[in-house]
Amino acid sequence: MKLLVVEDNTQLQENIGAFLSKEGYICEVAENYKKASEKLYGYTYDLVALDLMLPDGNGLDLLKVIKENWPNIGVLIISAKNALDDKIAGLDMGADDYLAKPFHLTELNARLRAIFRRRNQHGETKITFEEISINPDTFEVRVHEQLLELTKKEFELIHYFIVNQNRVMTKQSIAEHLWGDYMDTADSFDFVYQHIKNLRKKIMKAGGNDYVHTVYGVGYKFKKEE
Amino acid sequence: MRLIIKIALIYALISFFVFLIGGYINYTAMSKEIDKEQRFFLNDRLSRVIPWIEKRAFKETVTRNKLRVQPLAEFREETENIYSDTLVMHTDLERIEPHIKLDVIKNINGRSYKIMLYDLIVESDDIEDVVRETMIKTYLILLGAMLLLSFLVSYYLFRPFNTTLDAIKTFSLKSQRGLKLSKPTTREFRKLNTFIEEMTGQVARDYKALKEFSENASHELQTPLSIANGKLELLMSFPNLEQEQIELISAAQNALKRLSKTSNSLNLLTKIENKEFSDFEKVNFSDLVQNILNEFNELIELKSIEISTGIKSGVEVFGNKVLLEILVSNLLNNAVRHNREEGYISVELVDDFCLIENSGTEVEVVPEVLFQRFKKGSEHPDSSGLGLSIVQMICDQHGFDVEYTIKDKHHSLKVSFTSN
Repeated sequence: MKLLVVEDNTQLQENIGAFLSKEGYICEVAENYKKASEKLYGYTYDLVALDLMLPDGNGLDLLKVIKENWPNIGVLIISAKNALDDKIAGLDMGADDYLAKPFHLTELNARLRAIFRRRNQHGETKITFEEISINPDTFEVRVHEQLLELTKKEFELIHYFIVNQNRVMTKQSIAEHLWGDYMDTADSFDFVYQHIKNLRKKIMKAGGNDYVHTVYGVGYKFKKEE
Repeated sequence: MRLIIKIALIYALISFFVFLIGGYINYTAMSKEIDKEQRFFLNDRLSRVIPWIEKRAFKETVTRNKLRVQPLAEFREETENIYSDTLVMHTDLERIEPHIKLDVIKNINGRSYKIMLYDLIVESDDIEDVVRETMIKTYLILLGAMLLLSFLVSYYLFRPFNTTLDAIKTFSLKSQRGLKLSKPTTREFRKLNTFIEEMTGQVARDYKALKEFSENASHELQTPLSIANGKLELLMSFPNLEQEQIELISAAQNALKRLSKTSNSLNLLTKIENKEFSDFEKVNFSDLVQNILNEFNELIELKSIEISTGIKSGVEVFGNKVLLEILVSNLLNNAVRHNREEGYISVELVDDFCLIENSGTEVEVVPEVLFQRFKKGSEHPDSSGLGLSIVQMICDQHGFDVEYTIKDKHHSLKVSFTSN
């Protein structure tokens, strides 16, 4: 998965690069409009993470160029403006998704993977983790080939876990992933717990192992027992 | 009432009094002149009567047409002509008319005669009639001319003014530009147009600057927050972290999240204040409330809250859809957040109002205070204290009344659309 990060802030570039490299992305960065278009003309990318506020131009203009020349590249807009107009304009112009700053890197990872998967339907879309396999297109989860009856939230939860396996996932980031931004109540952490409890139960009932490890006071980690 | 009609009416009223006074002056001047003429006439007659008396030398009093000659017994001094008014029966008109009278004592051929002459050339009510008629007719002509003039004035002279008014009506801050107006030949209107051009230009510039500022402020704040949060996430993914270290990182992340949320809420308040959400339309409020309720269903269930709804279908509200959504989800969020396990929420929507009631905690402050920024009823760590300020601001923009009452542990918040 080759990703171009168009972001003028070097610190943010480093964060994204360091995090996603571990996830198996090949990350390249461009800090402005000019560099970004040079790279786009010179190399091939699967995904572009695009900041709208660039020092030498508007990200929306770059989006237009990308959509005209390389329609197969998936574009995720990352913007600090959080202005509704920009979001609507970006999605109208063919961006695949929109993520407002500040975001969790785990969320960025999940979104990018979703875009990549949607755009590469010809290949294998199933994601597998040990005995668990999930199909994001049909929202099916199987444990030992046995279909699980999951709610939409539970599906999103396991998907989020598997995409960000071996990482500490904070309750905060899980709650935001499941309910979006408007769910900011402290209660939501209890709800996260409820959903995880149900998910664990269903997986174990189907004969799966419990891969969800509690990180006390912070969140969870989805990993294989060493 | 139109300005030009007001002016015309005032003018008509003033000219009415002017004509009244003018009529009186006209009348007196005319009667004075006629009086003078009549005296001349009587004088003239007197000079013809004297030779006649000389010739006839009357011994007895003679009364003729409008003449009386009375020979006096003793000799008397001649007098000046004495003019006075008298009432005499008019022979033709058969009514009593004021006449002018001349009394004089003349010595003719050594004998004194008392001569009295009276006559009438123009009757006084004739003068009155003439004055009245001319005055009324002139007044009517003047009124007609004024009416015509006011139409011409309003059509021709006031045209640039009306064009300017129409232009102001279409002025929108969203265009981000001041108005461009024509240069009328009338000095006052030209001044007005220049002033409006300058003012709208200034307003548009200020608005743009404010908008850019709030966007930039948001960008400048969210980017470092993003960086810090990313660094913490990277730190979190280091292997072999102690539990305590993980907790510290997580606490720092939570604090950053709150900072970001507060900034977003303040940004939203500024945007609403700047009227950036000005696209108003008819919104089906029933559907909107129902949709947001569905989103909250899960939370309500998980908290074992009993929900009862009475939503009248097809309630329409004139407003901005995005703001109305924020309004309802803020209210429901509050109703869920400040609720207790196994509490209750009731949502009622009718044509005039939306009422949300829920169980909660006792609050020591007056409910009105909670609408102020950063005022909280409880020390809820996740509460920004801005939710109700946003609610208030949205209600103000839409002309809704919002009323919050707390009775013991029963909270009720009512949004009335009456003034909408």
